[in-house]
Amino acid sequence: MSILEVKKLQKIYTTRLGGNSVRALENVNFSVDQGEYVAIMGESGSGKTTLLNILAALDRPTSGSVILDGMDLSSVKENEMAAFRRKNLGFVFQEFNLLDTFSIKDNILLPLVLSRVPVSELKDKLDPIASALGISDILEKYPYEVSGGQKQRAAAARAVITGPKLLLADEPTGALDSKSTDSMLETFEQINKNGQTILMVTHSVKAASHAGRVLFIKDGEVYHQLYRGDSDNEEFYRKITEALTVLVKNS
Amino acid sequence: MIKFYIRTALNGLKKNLKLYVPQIISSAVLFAIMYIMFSLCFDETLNHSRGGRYLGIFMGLGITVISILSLVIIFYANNFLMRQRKREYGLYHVLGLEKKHIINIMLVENIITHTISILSGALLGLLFYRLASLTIFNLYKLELTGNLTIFSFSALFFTMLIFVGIYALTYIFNCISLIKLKTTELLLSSSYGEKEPKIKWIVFILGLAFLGTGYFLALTIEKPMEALAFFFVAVICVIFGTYFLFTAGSIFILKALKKKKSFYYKPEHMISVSGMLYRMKQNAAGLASIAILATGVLIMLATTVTLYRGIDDDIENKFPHDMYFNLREWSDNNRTSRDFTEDEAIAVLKEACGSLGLKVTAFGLKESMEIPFILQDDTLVTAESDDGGISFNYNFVSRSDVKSITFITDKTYYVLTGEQIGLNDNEMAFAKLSSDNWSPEKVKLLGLELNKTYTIKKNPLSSSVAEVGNCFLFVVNSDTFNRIHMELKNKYGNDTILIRGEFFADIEGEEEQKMQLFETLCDNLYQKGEAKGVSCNIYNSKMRWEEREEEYLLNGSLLFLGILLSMVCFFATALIIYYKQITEGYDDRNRFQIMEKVGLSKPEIKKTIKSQILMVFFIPLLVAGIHTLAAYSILSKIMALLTTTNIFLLCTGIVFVIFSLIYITIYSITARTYFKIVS
Repeated sequence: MSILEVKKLQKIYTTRLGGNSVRALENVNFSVDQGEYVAIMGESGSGKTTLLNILAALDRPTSGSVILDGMDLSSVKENEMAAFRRKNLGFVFQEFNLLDTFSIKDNILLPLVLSRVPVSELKDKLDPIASALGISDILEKYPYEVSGGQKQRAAAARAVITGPKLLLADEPTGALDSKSTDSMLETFEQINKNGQTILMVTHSVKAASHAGRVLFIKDGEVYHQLYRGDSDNEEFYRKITEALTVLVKNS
Repeated sequence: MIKFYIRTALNGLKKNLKLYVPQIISSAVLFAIMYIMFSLCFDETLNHSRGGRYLGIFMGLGITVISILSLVIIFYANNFLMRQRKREYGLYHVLGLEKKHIINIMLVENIITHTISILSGALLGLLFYRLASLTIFNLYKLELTGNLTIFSFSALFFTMLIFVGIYALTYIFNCISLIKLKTTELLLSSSYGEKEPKIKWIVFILGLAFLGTGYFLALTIEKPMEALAFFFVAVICVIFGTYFLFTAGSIFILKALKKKKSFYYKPEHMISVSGMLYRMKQNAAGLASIAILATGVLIMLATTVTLYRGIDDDIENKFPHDMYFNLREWSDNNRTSRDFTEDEAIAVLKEACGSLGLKVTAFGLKESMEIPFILQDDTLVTAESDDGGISFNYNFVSRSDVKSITFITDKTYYVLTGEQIGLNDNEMAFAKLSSDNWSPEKVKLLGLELNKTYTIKKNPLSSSVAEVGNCFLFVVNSDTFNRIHMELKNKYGNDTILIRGEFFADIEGEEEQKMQLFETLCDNLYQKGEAKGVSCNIYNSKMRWEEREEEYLLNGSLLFLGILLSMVCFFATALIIYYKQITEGYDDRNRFQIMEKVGLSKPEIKKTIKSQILMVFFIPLLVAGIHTLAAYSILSKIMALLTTTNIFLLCTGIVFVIFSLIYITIYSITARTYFKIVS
């Protein structure tokens, strides 16, 4: 059963005076099933970020539709958008986006507090996630006191604590060293195994090789896609690299 | 190369216009105020008017205070600008400019901004000088005769001297801090990791102690002289207390709020509490400064406005009659006499009035003895100084165990109040003149026993007795009055002067005619006295009209200085608020962008921002209000020494309301800048 359906998505940016227009997304179609782990790859300027912004309801498409769990995003009113995002979507960003005024714990709890979850339930929701992500020990610390990897795991905890229908990740390993990257990718896999649907935008072949399926975007369209099938991470890594080489050659 | 410096400097200024404009404006206003004060000092017309003698003193004082304030304000603005621009200078350095080049660029930038400040300041000064001097004449209630100076070169010269000096200091300061810095430090943005502030218990307790002491002094002191002595102690305590409590107390409260989970984990509280906790560490000093400056402005304006607006009231209370002449007890050859008897004085007055064609509408003689006593059981013993005489020493009389008793006859009481009280030889009417609660039914003094038969509610002497020490009034009949007089003479010798006499008169006529009469009377009394072989003490003679003019000159100067100083403090407050809004705007921009991504809608964000900055900027106003309220208690006692008017509370209230309105205006103007940065 598909949790996300993207149909004929088009996004055209026009300059303020209506002179030049840039077609960021031409015609994007794909769907994501419940519990799937999908990576989206593409070069800079391919429209990845635009796509993610539209999926995150931070931006509206020029035409086409995004349907999340049977609900059309374009039918959500502007003033309900923030609540919608909070309820249905989780985000992990390249630059962590943790608030420096909050402890790690408060950063993770923020979406729950914003949804007015009673205080008594906060601890029950926090503890299992924190221990699963291995950040129980640093909950009382502040973002500047912990490593990049720990920050990103805290951000992941914040993203999943509300139990979102879809976890959107934008270059989640982009600011991490290789060791932190490995542990972060394992974390994602683990989250996914617990049933969380993940959609990740990335440059990194290594990151993509952990996903179940990889979509390649080029010139605003889904150009190609690869399923992991039975292959292990290494084999999938090789397949992705080959696909990318073809992608570059053909342009 | 010079061209390059100028181009780079201009670019830098253009890019940071938002930061430089307020600095230039406040600098220019300070310059203008200083120029006006110097010009007032140098203005011939003003100095030759009757207000000249006060003007010089008060403007001199003002120039000193404002020089110091200008130094502080300009340094504050300069440091703020330096911090904001360090990154840019760091970039220049990385791009290959040497530090000496950057210093040159900075020099050009400073020359440009300071020249603009000085030019516009001088222009403002020129424009507003006329307004300022007309305001002074108005406050003095004097007619402007002669021409005002249009431009005073020496005023401009001295003002420039001070400001160029301050600017040079800031430039040297900047150069040193630039040279000391490493390139990487220059490049480092100001947003390094901030630790969550810890509660500084020692500072917190010290703050409580200081504020407690200050408030205790302000609220419990009853005696005006003590109030005067302890006022500055209280002020210093409150200033320290405010700084300490803003630093430690705010964090204490916020941490307590954070610990209360059911309160903290609510959307509207979580963001603002943690935001303020984070912010308090950097801003405590700034907010405390705003609170103290605001309190200063409030107190300065409330007192000076009260003194000025209360002049007519005060004169009416202190001088109910047109003119007063002092008579003195005179002893020669073992015989006490007075300069003039009542009849002689009336004769002199009538004669002078007759020659000028004026009519006396009221006349009276007031005689009193003010003697310090110490109460032992129910007996009053005269308080003696070390050499065995009666001590009239001021410090002595204001001692708490000394009761200062003023004796008047029932006849004088009738003259003062129009009320007849019949008193027998061992009877007295009693009145409290100060806050002391002593109220005897019966006292013994100098071998006499006096029973209280009457208690007077309203002080009939309000005019002449200041509420210093423990003062009481005994009204006795003439025989008893003379007996007390004789007893004291016998005990302390004939040349001890005890009786103070004063006769007063009301005259029908124009003020100028009264002036003429007053002068004639003084002359006549003096001559008559010479003829009798006594030197008449006419120098203590007073005329209501003259007293009023004097008060207008003195209190008008005070009010004018108060207004100028308040303006300076106010500009300092506005500048601090503005720069705070900008720094916090840049700090918060990032934070609110993240919140939007995490799922906070724009209206929600705006609401949080509003409540947060509202709290941060209105706490100082609130604190200033509370401080002023506490200060009111002690100040009203000091004011009792200076004036008899009762409009102090009203003036304080009005000043507070007006100040709050202006504060809110400044806040909303600067808040707009903040919102622009954040969104």
